[in-house]
Amino acid sequence: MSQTIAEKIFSRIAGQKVSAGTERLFPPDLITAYDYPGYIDKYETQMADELGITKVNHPEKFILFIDHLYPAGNPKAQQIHEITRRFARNYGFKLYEGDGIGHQVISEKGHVHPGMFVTHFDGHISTIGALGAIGIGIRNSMIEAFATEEVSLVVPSSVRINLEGKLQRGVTARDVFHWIVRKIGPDGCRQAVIEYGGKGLGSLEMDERFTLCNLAMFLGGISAVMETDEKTHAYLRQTTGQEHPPMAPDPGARYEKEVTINLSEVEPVLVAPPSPANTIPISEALGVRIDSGYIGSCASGRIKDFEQAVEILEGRRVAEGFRLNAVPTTTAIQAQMSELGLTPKLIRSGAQVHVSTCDFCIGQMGALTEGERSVSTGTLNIPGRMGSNRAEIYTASPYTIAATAVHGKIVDPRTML
Amino acid sequence: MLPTIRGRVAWVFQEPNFDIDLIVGVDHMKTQEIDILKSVCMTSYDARFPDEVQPGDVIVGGANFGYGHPHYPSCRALRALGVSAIIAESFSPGFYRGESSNGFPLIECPNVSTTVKRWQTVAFDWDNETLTIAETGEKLACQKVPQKSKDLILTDGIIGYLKQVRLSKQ
Ligand code: SF4
Repeated sequence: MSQTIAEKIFSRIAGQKVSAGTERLFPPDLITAYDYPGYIDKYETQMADELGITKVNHPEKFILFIDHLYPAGNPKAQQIHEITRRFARNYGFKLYEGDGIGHQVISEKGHVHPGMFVTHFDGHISTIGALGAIGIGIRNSMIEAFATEEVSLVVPSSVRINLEGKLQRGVTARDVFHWIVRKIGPDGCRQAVIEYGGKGLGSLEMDERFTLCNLAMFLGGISAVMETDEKTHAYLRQTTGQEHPPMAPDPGARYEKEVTINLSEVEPVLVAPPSPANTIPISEALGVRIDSGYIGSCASGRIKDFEQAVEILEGRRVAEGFRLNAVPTTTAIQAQMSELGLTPKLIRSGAQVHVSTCDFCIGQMGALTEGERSVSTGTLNIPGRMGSNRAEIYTASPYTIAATAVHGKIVDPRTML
Repeated sequence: MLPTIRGRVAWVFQEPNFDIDLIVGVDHMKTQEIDILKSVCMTSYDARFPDEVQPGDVIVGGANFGYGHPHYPSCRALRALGVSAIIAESFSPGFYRGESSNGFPLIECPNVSTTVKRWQTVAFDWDNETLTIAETGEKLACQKVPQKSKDLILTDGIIGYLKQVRLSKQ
């Protein structure tokens, strides 16, 4: 029977053909988690004290990240980091600390290969879908993965999104994603893996593909995965040093639905407060006064994002009193930004360029106070996400944020290119 | 044995993509004290909710219930007030995984949010996966409940499940 990419991946792991709807145990290829109060500290207690497990069979499958509350701003945060280090040490897990946001570090460091199944408690692990792999956030059933190295799953069905055409100037992968939300609804891919493919995918850079896969949960998707092409394999050659067979579905694979998106029709969109479901065309938000901007997060803090911001900011200044935070997703990206000359351009325009961390995305740094408004490439715009519950967050593309930073109010970036 | 789900419908959310955090409100996302969570639970919908709700009651939801970035306090509050299940048109996958791991019965039942009325009594039949409205006798077909979700309910959540179902086999 013809298979989707997801069915192929889960069949490989099961050692037999499985199709959407089959419920069984699957051993993930990688089991990943990051430091945060109530997560790794809890897993440590659950593993050792409640379940009595002091050793795992395949420590090489586990990767932990210290990327939240980083650098530690207080002793409590440092304590969480110390627990994370201890957990990694005691069980023999790989730990990345200070390399940036784990959802991207995992690919950069060559851990992700096409066809892999990776778990995390956080659904943004779907980012790795850009490499033809599937990352699923399993929330508090992570302890199942830690304790048994298997997770029970119903093989997900897939929604096929065919991309056609090319993006217009001033339009980004962020816009594409939220355009799709507008078109098929925030539950348009509910409980399914979003399988991206089509000629238009080839026109997108890897950085843009990571963004599209990262946001899968806001279409109701359980994850996202992409067909691989020459760009994917060039990236994989660099990160893994290996050649991989292409990843594609079989002709005639069965999808819950198929959607075609013509990239050339996409226009800038924003996600207005208070919910990620609330997508609006930029025309409906023009002129809204904004106090701060954030370009970064696991969704959008890559070279492409900063190149877009610099296209607008070069030769211009951030408006008086506006705070623009530029936060590279990883330290490798941070280094590359310097090499490419993006960092000095951002700084000269009045942006603050920061160390790689999750903390701007969760209001630990650059926090908003009551009554303020921000434009952000973070993943979420719910109240309280970046500080006060009474601050408002619009999520938008790096172009839109840069244009807004210059004027202190929401501006269509296409008028400044 | 799986728990009996038979109770009054304490609230009907018809809106799709309901953000579960609104049940206790964003100001209580980090609140741990269960008494506070109980006292604010659902009060922005009905100020008397914490007094009116009874053990065994259920909440009815719309499509993609739990969308967004769901936190745990809202369902802790509902459970502490005796809510025995959420029956919705469909659930957002992250929410479903998180709360079913807590051993909370979540039943997907197409058309439920437009068919049942607040304070009607409904009963869920685990064997036939149907929901019956006591007042009218009407039966609604529900989606199959995955075995894992049933196991999690039977074992009172993920730790019990691991101990009793998974690790005992190794
Ligand atoms: S960048 Fe934001 S969404 Fe991504 S992992 Fe960090 S906190 Fe979570």
